[in-house]
Amino acid sequence: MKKYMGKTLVTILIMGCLLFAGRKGLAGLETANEERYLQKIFPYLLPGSTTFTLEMSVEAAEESQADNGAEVAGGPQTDNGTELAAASSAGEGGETEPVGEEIIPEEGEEAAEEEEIIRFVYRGETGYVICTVTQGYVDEIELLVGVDDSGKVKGLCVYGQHETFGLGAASQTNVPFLQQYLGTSGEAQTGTTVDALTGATVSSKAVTKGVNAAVAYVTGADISSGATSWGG
Amino acid sequence: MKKLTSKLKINETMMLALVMGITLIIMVLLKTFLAAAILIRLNIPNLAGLSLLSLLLTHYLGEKKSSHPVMNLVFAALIFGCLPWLAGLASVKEALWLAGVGGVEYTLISGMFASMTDRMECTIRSRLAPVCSAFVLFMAFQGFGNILL
Repeated sequence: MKKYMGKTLVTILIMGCLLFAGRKGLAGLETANEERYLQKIFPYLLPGSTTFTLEMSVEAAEESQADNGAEVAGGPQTDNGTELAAASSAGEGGETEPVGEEIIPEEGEEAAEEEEIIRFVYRGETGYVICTVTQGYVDEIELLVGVDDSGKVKGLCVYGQHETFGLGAASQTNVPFLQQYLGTSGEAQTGTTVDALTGATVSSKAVTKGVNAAVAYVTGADISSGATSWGG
Repeated sequence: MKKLTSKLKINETMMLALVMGITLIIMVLLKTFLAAAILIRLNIPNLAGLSLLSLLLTHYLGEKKSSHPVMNLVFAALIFGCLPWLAGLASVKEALWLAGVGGVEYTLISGMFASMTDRMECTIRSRLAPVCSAFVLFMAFQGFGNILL
């Protein structure tokens, strides 16, 4: 019995060490490969731009949240340095406000909620490529959305999903479905302006929410209202 | 191969650790070198597939001795919980979920697999009996695809 347990524990230990070492050793390479892949597809998502620089990442957002007491959402900087879309702060009157020291708690909550949707943002010459994460039917759906400076969607693709095969998974490959979002400026709504995928309303709503969140990041619109916990 | 594995005396849980470890190594490599690849999710049907694969390999290549269910539960929980976390493919919360669900699942599957294979081997003397049992159990566990996510 002791021998049996010992052998199993040694095997688990060896496998664990191998995996941990592999993960640590390949971490840099993984980041470099992902960056290379993203740089390769960005020009298709945002035609007219050739160079893309990282403007905001999850780590940076978390750091800024920690620094500012978890109430400030990062937004794109214009050339003169004005904060364009501090999540909900510019939502009501279309005003652009720099991130202030005093933030009303409700707004802060909304900002944090919206920021959870955005994973990273890259700045191109003509706009932004934004990676959004929304809850689909099975798991989170990651979207890459190209939005130009005027707030129009120029391209999008599903970067990661685990939706049901044959139903929600089609959100990644169904070109006519994805094409519906091109040219929208945050007004996309599943069931009215956008036809949902057959048998995958929740996944379709999640894609819509992701696209609208990306546009809202650029324009500063408030998208938190009307969103359900399952996206849409 | 058979000679090597019988010499090493690979038991059920050792085989599970090997199968899970190799699968996770492949996933880590895919994640590193194919940035666009969407990796499989460690959910109930996929955990069942891994459990059945390890049981099949043990049946053909490993030790014939079956272990105690409680020990199976503990080791399976350790394997399904720790290895994905160490590979960076699961957060602490997910690892705990995997440990709980994976441990119970493996214990159930190993019991059902053993009894089904024994029963089939009593009536139909075939080397394919374990494969048939594994296939039936794998199909049965597909029904849990959208449960306990």
